[in-house]
Amino acid sequence: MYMARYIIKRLLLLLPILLGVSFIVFGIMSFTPGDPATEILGPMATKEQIAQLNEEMGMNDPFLVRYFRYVAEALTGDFGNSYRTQKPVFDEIFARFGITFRLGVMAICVAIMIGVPIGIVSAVKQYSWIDFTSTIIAMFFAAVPQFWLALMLVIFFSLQLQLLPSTFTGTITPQHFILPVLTLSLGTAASIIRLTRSNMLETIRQDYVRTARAKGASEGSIIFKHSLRNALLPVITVIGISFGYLMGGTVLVESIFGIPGLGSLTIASIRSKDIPQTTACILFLAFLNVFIMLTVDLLYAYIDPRVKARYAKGVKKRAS
Amino acid sequence: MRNQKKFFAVLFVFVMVLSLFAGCSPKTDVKDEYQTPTPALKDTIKMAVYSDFKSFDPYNSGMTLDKVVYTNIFDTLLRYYNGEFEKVLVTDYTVSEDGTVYTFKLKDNVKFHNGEKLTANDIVFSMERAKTSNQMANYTKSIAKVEAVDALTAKITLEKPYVPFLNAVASTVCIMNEKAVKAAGDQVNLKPVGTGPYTFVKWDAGAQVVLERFADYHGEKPQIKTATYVVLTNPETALIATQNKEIDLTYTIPSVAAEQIKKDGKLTLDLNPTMGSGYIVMNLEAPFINDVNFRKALAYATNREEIVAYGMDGIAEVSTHLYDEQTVGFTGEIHIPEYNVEKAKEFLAKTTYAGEVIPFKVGYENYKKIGIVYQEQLKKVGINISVELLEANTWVSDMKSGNYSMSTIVQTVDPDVALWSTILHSNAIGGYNFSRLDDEEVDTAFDTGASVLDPVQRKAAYAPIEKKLYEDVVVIPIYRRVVTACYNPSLSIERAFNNGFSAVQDMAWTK
Repeated sequence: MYMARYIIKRLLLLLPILLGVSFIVFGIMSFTPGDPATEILGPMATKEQIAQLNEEMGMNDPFLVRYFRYVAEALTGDFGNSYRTQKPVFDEIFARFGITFRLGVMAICVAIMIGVPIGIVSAVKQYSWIDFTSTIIAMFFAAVPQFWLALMLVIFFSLQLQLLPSTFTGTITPQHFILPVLTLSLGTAASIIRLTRSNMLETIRQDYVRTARAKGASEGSIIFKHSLRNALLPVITVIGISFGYLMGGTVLVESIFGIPGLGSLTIASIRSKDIPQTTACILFLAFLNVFIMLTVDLLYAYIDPRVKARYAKGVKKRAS
Repeated sequence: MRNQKKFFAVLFVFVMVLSLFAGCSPKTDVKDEYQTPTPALKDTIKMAVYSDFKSFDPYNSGMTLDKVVYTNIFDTLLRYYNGEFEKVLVTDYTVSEDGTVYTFKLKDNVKFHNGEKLTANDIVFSMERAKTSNQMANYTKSIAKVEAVDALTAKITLEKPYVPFLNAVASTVCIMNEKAVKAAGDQVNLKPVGTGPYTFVKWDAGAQVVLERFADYHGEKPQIKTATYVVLTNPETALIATQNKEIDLTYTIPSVAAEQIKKDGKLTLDLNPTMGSGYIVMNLEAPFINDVNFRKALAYATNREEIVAYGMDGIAEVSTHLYDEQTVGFTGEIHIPEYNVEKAKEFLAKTTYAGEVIPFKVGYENYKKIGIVYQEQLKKVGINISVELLEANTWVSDMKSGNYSMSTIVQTVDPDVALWSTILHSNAIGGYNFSRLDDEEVDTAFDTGASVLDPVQRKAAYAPIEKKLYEDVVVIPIYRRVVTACYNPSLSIERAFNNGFSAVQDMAWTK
């Protein structure tokens, strides 16, 4: 019950967050130079035509009037049409979101699959060659710019070996995802390796682990049953944050691999001063991030008995 | 036993790693396409372009890339190429002696993509629609009346002679079908219906545009059946995708790669000259710039060859005029001062300039590179500029409002001096007259020149414009823009238009 209340509370918190985000984005788009009428009418439009369209679109109204009009329409589900394509803004977002979501999910899965096992081995075999190698590799991937990494992967796998396609052209196959997913995941994997390693090192030195070992528990049981579950808690937070970042932060990768995703839509909208599209894109990303962080919090409760107990306490307190 | 376990563990990891690459088998279908002889020629083409499209309504898009696409979908009455007018939708046309009545005889076998037959009424509808368009209004405002004399004869009467008519209207206004436009409603930009060799299939915003060969096309049937324009904003990727044969042609390559592409010889590289004029634009109202001696100092300090070589990696043609002999009405009698450091210092000494830093605002990364080379050149004569990269919208806004001193830009204008009025006439201040040039003689030249029928007298009418531009150094021309087209050597491209791009109907696979 308390958990349900907590979820509802968190979901209600979305409202002020989305209002705040929309206010900031709307403000930035309104107060930066350039006007949508010029964008819509093109370079040959006369000053009179631009002024007339701006008037028709209500661009001459005070900022707050325009903002509240936008919010009122948004509350009825009308987020407006894109100035560029004339289509409803969420049609564009949903058309693009699928590919970004798939990229994000695949990238985070690969990052976990690489990061967690290597982090564990690295901690268990501290100061071994595996530890040194994995630490160096992790530092390398954490340090290299994504742009460079993407180009190197493309040059090696596409151009030299001709194994994988370099762009999202033609019929999209699973092979198309390999290079962008690797580009996105290697940096995140590096963070997960380092975090898993340091948390595992801390956990396996705890008294309860020593006790388990003294009681004759097998090494596998000590690592996976007693240490890993505790060590993974902070890692889950990083994974959640990284996933949120991957959803909105794929711009560079989308640009390099020619992926028509949400990131490239947001950038194109900003460049063309497409206020409804930009605002909707950022609102959607903000919603997604809050939703992901809420999921992470709930996962915490599932994994960590202390958090679960806190919720239970909440229930007891209310009962008393 | 323990060793055996270790061995299996290592083996397991090895198999897992291998399995990661299991799906990465070479794309044999793509390789085969080019490496093994095929009985039939390929009939599809994929072309990379550097940015997304905006609108496929030809009357409401000022973007070059939109035009590159809709040129395949729509026809115009005539087509201007290499100084000649080709008859596209007409069998013949006549111009009255006083230059005010144009009569076009239409081909009788032309169909629109929606199956409608082309008639003179479509010309009337298209011209009337063009008159109300923001893009076309400057050119079509000269039209007094458009009539359908009979089903296949259209007569256009002008209020007064307008010499660029054939170029600016007959070769520019895309012929549309009233029924199709009405059926599309407010989505004309997404549902283009023309009489061109290709029909519009779809636009996946930010990703691609697909065109399909029109079976009932009135002209010669193009070889390529399906044409796809793919948006690849990153030039490095576009080039790699072309080298990797995922893309057949790319209009975007890193400029530094041009030399290497030529050396390798694995791809064909065309450097297509365009009508795009790149120049140093100055706000004539800004401090120091408002002094003609200072502008002359700038002109003498400008080394065009160096800017093209280092600022543009050699991908441009050095130019000393804003518009040149390709432009009707160009005289070529007056020239901008040539590079001369001593003369630059001489003129600078006549000004009140004392080393102040003048901002050089740019809106794009490639313009910044030009700015940096120019900064070094000006330093040699004692002029300091600071190169500032702004967000593109901010930059355009500053240029329009006069909130800048110096910048660089490329302007592409059709080949007639009259059409430069959108950039140099005083009524364009606040618009694209970034120089804020307000000169009565120039305005009069534009206002009267377009109606002068005699070519010699017309040149004379326009002469004051060039005089002002170069004697008073209103602009400093630097280069003529070049569009790079890098493509599969099995592809042949017959020609490129003055925007540097080619129509799909002019492309064909040779093997």
